Amino acid sequence: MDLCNSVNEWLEQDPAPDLKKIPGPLSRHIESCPACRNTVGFFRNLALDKNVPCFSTSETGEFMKQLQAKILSTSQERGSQTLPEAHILSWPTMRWACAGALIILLLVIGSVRFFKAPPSVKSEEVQSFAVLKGKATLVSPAGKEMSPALGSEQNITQETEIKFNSSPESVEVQYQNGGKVYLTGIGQMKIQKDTIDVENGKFNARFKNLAGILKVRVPCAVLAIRGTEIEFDIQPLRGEILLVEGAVDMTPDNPSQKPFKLRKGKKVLFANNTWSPPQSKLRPSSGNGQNGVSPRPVAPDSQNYPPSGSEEGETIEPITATDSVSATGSAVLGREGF
Amino acid sequence: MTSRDHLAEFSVLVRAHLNSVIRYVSFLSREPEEAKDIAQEVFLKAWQQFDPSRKNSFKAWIMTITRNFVIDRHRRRAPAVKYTSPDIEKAPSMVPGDGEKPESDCDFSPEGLPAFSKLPVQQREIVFMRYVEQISYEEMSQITGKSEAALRKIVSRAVSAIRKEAANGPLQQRE
Repeated sequence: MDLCNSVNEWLEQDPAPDLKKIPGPLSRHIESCPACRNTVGFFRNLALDKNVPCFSTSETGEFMKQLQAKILSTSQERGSQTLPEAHILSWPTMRWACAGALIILLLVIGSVRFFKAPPSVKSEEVQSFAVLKGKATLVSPAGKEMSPALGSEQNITQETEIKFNSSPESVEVQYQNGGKVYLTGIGQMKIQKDTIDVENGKFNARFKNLAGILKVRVPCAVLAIRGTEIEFDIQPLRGEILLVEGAVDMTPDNPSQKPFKLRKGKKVLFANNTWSPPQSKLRPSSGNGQNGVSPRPVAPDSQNYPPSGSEEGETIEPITATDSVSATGSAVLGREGF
Repeated sequence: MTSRDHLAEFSVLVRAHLNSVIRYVSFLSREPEEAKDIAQEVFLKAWQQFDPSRKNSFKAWIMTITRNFVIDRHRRRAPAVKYTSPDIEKAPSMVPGDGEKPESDCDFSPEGLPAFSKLPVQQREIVFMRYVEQISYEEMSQITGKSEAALRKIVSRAVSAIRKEAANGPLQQRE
């Protein structure tokens, strides 16, 4: 009886057993048990039943020809070039594809805005702090030169260098806080947010409406400027600064030299890496009328200004706590030998 | 893959499973003379939904199409069905609306095995798929929509019924 159950289990196993290959123990039992033999024989004969239809090779070939003809005719009627319908894009398929594409597009736009846009706005705000008007050439920190069109404005960013040859018309640097610097002459300088590094040239600079103190860096010294007019003559081997209007605090880099104040009409000279103190009398600049500069009127004796050191009777005016930068005077400053 | 490649691949699959479909159609419809036409319609329908990714489960898929097609066809032609055998009337009634195959008389193939005809219709179909077409429980589950456990139970009952019949003597084919 147990073996009969085993035969049943064998018949019911998955996948269906090959009824022509009966396992050894079951085979002996099946031969001896009429019920099992008849049962197994029934299922074996089921697949071999003569009434189970089966196509011959020729019938299969004929069937395939008819089927392919039907497929072709059906496809031509539908104009789908024999492609099955599963490969024809339907609206439900397209709908999901469109939704997916839209989501991807939104993600891309969002990521671009999130990662790219804020830094660019910030950098624009930080870097562009002034605009330049006039005939000048801007040299970006990367070394790229740009010349703004006439009448147009060019943004000035940090570390931008400008070269100008603008006599008699002036080049205007307008800060976002309203401060303006007018440059007339020939020169080259690096514009920073709160500092101007004068590199070389002979030019006149007028500073107006500065919100705070603007520092002008010249070789071996720094000028603290609020609103004034200065003539610079900075050459490779000498320097000269004439204060035409206002007052300027000048701080030499050399720690042994004390800061001093320039008054209107005073000139300082630079030689041997040292700035001379202001002179007592106004002297005309030796570069008057040269290089297209239109200097302000200076005292006639300034033509014979010594190359270094102060004139007789002149004393250095050290800066005290009560001193303030004035924009009401006029002076000539100069330097040499750097 | 071009449409010609698709058709070539589909043709190979049709050739491999043509006899299974013909047998299943003959079994379900009991109209062997129409089995060829029905098979044409079945394969045409399959072609319209053919996807090369179905290649591995093509047999279960085409048998499902065949089963549904024959049931739909039977529904349209329901008045033509005749129940002639007193044995089949003893079998549990199958409601076509439930997705089962229609009730049939005892003369459908393999008509040479009377014991087979005595089985309930549901068991006959499962026994046919399992022992004639060698379809696994998993594939039968896909085709019929029944769970594998239910199918195992049906097979077990069918085996027991055949064994009971076989105890009375050899189950010979009719001449």
